[in-house]
Amino acid sequence: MRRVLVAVSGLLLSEFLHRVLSQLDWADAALYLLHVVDTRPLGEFGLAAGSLPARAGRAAARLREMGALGAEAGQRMLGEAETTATPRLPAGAAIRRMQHTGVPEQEIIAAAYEIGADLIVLGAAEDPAEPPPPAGPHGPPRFPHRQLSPTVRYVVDHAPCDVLLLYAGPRKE
Amino acid sequence: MIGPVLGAQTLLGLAVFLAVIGLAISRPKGLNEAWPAAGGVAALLALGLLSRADLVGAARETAGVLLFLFGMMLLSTALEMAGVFAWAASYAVRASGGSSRRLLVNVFILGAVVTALLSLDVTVIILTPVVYATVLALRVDPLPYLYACTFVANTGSLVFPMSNLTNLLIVDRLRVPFWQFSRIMAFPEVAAVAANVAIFLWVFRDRLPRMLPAATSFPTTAGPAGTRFFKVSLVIFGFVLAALFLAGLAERPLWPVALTGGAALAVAAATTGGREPREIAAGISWPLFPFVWGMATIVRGIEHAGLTTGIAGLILGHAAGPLGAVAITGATAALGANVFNNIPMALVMLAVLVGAPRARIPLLTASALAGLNIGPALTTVGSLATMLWLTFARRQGVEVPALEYLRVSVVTVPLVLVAALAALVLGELLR
Repeated sequence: MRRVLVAVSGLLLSEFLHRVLSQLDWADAALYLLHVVDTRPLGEFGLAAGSLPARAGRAAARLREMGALGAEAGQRMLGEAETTATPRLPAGAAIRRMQHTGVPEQEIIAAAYEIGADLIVLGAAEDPAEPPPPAGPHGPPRFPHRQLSPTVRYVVDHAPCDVLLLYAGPRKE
Repeated sequence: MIGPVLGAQTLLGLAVFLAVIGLAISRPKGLNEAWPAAGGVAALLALGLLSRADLVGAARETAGVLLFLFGMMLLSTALEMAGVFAWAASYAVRASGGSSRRLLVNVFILGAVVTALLSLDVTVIILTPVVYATVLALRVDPLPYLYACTFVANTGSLVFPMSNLTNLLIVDRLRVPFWQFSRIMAFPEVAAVAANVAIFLWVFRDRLPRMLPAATSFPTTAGPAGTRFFKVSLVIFGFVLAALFLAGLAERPLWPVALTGGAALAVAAATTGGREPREIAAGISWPLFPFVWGMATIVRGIEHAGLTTGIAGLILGHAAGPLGAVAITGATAALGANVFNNIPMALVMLAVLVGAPRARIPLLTASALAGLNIGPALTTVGSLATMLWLTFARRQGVEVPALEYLRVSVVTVPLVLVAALAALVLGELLR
């Protein structure tokens, strides 16, 4: 059975999932939906708040609230993702929801090892809106350039299996 | 210069100062900051570096500032309860027109306004979690926006006395008039925030997708904006701000305005808002009051021990030209704020600045505060507070990658500080 790990980040969630589901063959495949609660924003908040005098108590309380909020937002996305995916998968296909906490790129790789993934599917935020500029006076033409996020670049670099990268928006023709 | 003042008493004074700061930052077993400060005062009394007159003197010196802080804490707690910050954050989203870069700029502007008017504590403790929740609802990477909040809390805290406790302490004691201070600081404030925005747009360029994915699904009307409590709070807040600026203009103390306004908003929260007094009291950082008084007293002690004389000589020796004076004061303050935390360092700088020639005080004050206020954003890297935070986070099972913070603040803080100090010198030369 092929294990497909789909990283859910909220980025155009339903469009992204429709594309994931339509581009792959789901016979004899299991779908693992992963959301990662990013601890870096929480760390940055805690660092700033914790260094204010006499504020550490409130900072800790706020940090817990924020952590819970992040986990809850992720659970909501996973729920939405599962609802979108279930009717489109063949009957009996397995769907699993996973939530990790940490640095997203590292957790995606960790989850891939954990489940023995055959494929990781990621979404990339950027869509190149501009048409290709005319060729410069020197050298080859300069094609539109995407700025991939550090998360995507890390996963591509470290993945133990194939990676499918889906861009967020439709390309402008 | 430093040699002759480093006697046994000076060393003991320094040891007490460092121990107090170490304990206040590390807070072993959740000990609140007031205790080490009180312990430090007792130790310096025993060493003969403090007299009873110092205790009273420090209380008299800090009373106005502490009353002001108390009023502003009541005010900001009530504003939060009324949903003012959540409303402002949702406004920032709507005004971004679906662009993640514009949203980053808007978060900076919102953070700078909140910091300038209500202080950096409010931006970090209240606004940052609100922005986090708002950005989560948008389903975009929250990291750049969180950094924007925590950084603008420092870089945007230059302009008014109330923007930062360090400003209050120094301006109040040196009797720099409100408007003179704000006039000198306006240009550096704008320069610092603009530099910070520009650097962040670059640093986070690959984390800011061109369009906000969920912008269309974000609710366009904020829930709290309709309630009576919300409206009453905004009206009272408007009056308080107007009164604060008028009091500043008239060179009157600010604390009666803050205290009255804070009390009025607390009453509104308890009546119209239906909040429990206990909830409102929970918004006050009680240990801050004994901590600030204790630190002010301790700094008097190390002043008696001759410790501040060395720093004073270093700074005032370069006070002849504005450029040297600004650079060395700003750098010393920024460095000290990172090593010792900014409140104690502000009090040390205060002791230094008291001895400066009268005509130089506004400029030196401004450069010291630029360093004291912007510098601590670097604290997210190198200082004791950071080390302890990282250990704490690790114990909670959260692995915080220190290098990630280093990458952002090492690039940002020096450039922002240089921008602010350059704006200060430029403003001075143009005058």
